[in-house]
Amino acid sequence: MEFKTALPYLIGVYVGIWVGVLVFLISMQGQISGLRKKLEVLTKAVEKKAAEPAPETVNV
Amino acid sequence: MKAIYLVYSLPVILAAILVCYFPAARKWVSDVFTVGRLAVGSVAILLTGFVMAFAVAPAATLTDGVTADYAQKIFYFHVPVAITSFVGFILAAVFGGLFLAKRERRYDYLSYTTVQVGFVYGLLTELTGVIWDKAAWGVWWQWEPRLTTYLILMLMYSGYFILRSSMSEESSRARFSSVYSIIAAVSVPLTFFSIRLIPSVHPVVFSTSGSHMPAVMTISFMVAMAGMVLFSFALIRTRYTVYQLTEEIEYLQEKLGG
Repeated sequence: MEFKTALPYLIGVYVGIWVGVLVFLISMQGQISGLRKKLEVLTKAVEKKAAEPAPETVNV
Repeated sequence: MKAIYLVYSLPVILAAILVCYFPAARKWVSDVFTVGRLAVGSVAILLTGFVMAFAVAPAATLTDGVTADYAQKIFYFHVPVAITSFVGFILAAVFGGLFLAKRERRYDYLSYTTVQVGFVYGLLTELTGVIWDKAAWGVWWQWEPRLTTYLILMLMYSGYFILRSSMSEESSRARFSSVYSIIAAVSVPLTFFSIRLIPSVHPVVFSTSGSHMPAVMTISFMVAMAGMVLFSFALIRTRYTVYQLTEEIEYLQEKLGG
């Protein structure tokens, strides 16, 4: 294949890989903020559970 | 060796020692270089490097008339991705060694992520390499020391992924992968020194006698290099943060369930 014919495709693949990696990075940032929210909710739930009084034991 | 290399490497070594041995320094780095800041900052530096490569750095004089100007610009893309891939593979071996020493799952995950990032950079190296080959040498591929050793390196790291996917048991997968990452890292210095030890047509830009580049070209290269390395760190840090958060969530869910 001629160099001039192939060059745009090669540059396209190169730029494509960078765009792919960049999109991946951005999507991971979104995933992180989602996970942080979930962690916050769970932490509050655990704190709430710890604050609740232990159930009384009944001797029969 | 030129004193300038010592000047470049000393701050890096000093920073590594501080981060490794002082928890306060580690916390400061973690607080300042948050996942988001690292990602945005690295992309900004990367783009600056690309712009500098085309707008600021002067064109090198090559024998090939039409393609000379643009073919040489590959240097600002090809060399930084290649060096970053080497850094990634060496880091993967370090994390692999840490896993074997401490048996903490996070080091296995870090090693795996670092190999993944190094592999993507390796693919980019190969891609920019063939563009240079055709433009400068007139062929797409040549069995010369650097190209051959780099191909072997990439095949070795392809083997890493095959090994990982073939093992389902987590602890043995982590153990074998860590050992493999250390063995595979041997190919990094072999690839790096191949053109310095064996006569080759591959250019050697940085040698013990200096870079032989004008200051503007060196600065443009350094910016592109910093951008590439920081971007790889941003990728590793982001993936590791996802891993840490997932682990914490699983732990809390277990606690709630119990």
